[in-house]
Amino acid sequence: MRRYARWQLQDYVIGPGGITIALVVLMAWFTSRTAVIQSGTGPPRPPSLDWLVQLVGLLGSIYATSGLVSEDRTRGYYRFFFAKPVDPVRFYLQAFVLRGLVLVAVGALISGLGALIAHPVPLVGAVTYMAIMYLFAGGVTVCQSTVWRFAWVGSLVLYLVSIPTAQLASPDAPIGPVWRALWRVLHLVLPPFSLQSILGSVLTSAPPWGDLVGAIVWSVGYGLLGLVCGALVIRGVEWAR
Amino acid sequence: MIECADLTKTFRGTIRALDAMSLGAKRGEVIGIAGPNGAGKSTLIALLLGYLHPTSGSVTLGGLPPRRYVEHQRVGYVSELIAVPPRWRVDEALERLSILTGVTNAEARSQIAALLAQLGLEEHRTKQVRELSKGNLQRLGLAQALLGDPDVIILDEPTHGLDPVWMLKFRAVMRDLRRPDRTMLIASHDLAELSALTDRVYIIDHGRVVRSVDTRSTAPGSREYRLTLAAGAEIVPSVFPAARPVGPEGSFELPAIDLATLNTGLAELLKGGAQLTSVAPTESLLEYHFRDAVDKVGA
Repeated sequence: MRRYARWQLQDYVIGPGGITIALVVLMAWFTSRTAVIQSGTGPPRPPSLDWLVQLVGLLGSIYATSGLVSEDRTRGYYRFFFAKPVDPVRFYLQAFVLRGLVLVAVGALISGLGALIAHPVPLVGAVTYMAIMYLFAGGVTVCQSTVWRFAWVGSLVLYLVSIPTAQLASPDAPIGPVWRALWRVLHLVLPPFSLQSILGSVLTSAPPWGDLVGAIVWSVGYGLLGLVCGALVIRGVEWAR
Repeated sequence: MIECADLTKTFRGTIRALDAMSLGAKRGEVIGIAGPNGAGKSTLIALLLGYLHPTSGSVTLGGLPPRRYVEHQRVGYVSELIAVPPRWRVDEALERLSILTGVTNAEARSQIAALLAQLGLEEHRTKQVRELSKGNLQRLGLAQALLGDPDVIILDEPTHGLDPVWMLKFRAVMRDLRRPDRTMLIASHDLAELSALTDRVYIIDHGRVVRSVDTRSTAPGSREYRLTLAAGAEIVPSVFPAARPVGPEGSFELPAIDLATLNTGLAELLKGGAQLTSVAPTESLLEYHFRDAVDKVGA
């Protein structure tokens, strides 16, 4: 099974992974052509690539995992794969881990590109942020991929719903206590995409790790829960239709 | 080795694809599954591989639940639909699937080379799967099923889409696959193929086994025959009153009769001066059983 890793890696790199890397390089290049005037004096400089790490952390993770299981199901490739002595859960878990490692490497790449063209993005921060977001968004998406083809749509909808839900669940929201309690319950159930902004401070030169532990544990835990649910679905699902 | 007991599979609560189906195959046996479209052949195979779960009843391979067996032993499977990613090359597909089969690199190299040669795929080895004809795709399907020398082989319409030359070659390959420690199941619409390759054929219809035919048995039941004479055609109606003339002059079809009645009648014809050109069943034993069983279910 481990010998199959190189093929799984190749499948990702010549597919969604390659496209992600190409887009990262392209966007970094565009950014390098963009001059912004910093506050205070000094010559104009390209903006930092923090935003690119955050963008790839979210969208790259969703893109990497959206078709991971569903493509084999809908196209019938499972027929030959799983007639072999292969545990489908291990098969997809290995692919999930490999794709995550590539995305973490993409985080390092952005950090390097940032150092070349603009403000440096801390390597540890970029890699950590990418790993957290992959475990979270990737876990949520791959879980959906076990049951339907449009997992990426599901994840984007959850993202769009969870952000205003988090705002309505906050103590500052101008709504009554009953409604706030209901929004809070929904906020706890939905994937915590709203934590992305808090997790963004991982990308600073001195991240407040102590303040971030809760957000990291909640995000990673939610993603791992998604992975466990996905594994249970793979074990229980009827592959043929 | 393969055991199904009262196996029932219902889809969406109402569509009964398999209805208390019971069948089995011992180690060393080759069994066939025949049936009209929608009879439940593909559902049965999906249950055997654990791609579907039974609604009730049981299915086991080697005494184990299907997934447990498949994930720990080697099963060769050719599906009716050969679904391999189209951008894979033929040799790449076999290398990938050999890794999943669990064979070592050295073994894989020799097995792949042998299978490419045996199945006439050498000249196509660097082609992408999308470039293969239906027949070549089918050959690739069989090649991947034979990787790792499996003890259980399940073939779903293995010769579907093959030209007559390769159909015959395929049959020869499948005949050679028989061995005492291997169990094979072949689902096919081709009754001649099943007659030639199997020990027993389960005829299924509406999700049930409606007949089990021992294809190695030579004991003929009551069957229809076609009789052709060079002379003496005029005495046939007196010997076989139910005979009906067909085709060229001197040809008759005899409605279902047993072997003893046939031989008595033929002796009478010869004594009466008739000259027989040929006497042959109008259909093979399996064809006869298939038609008879399916007709009875329809009635």
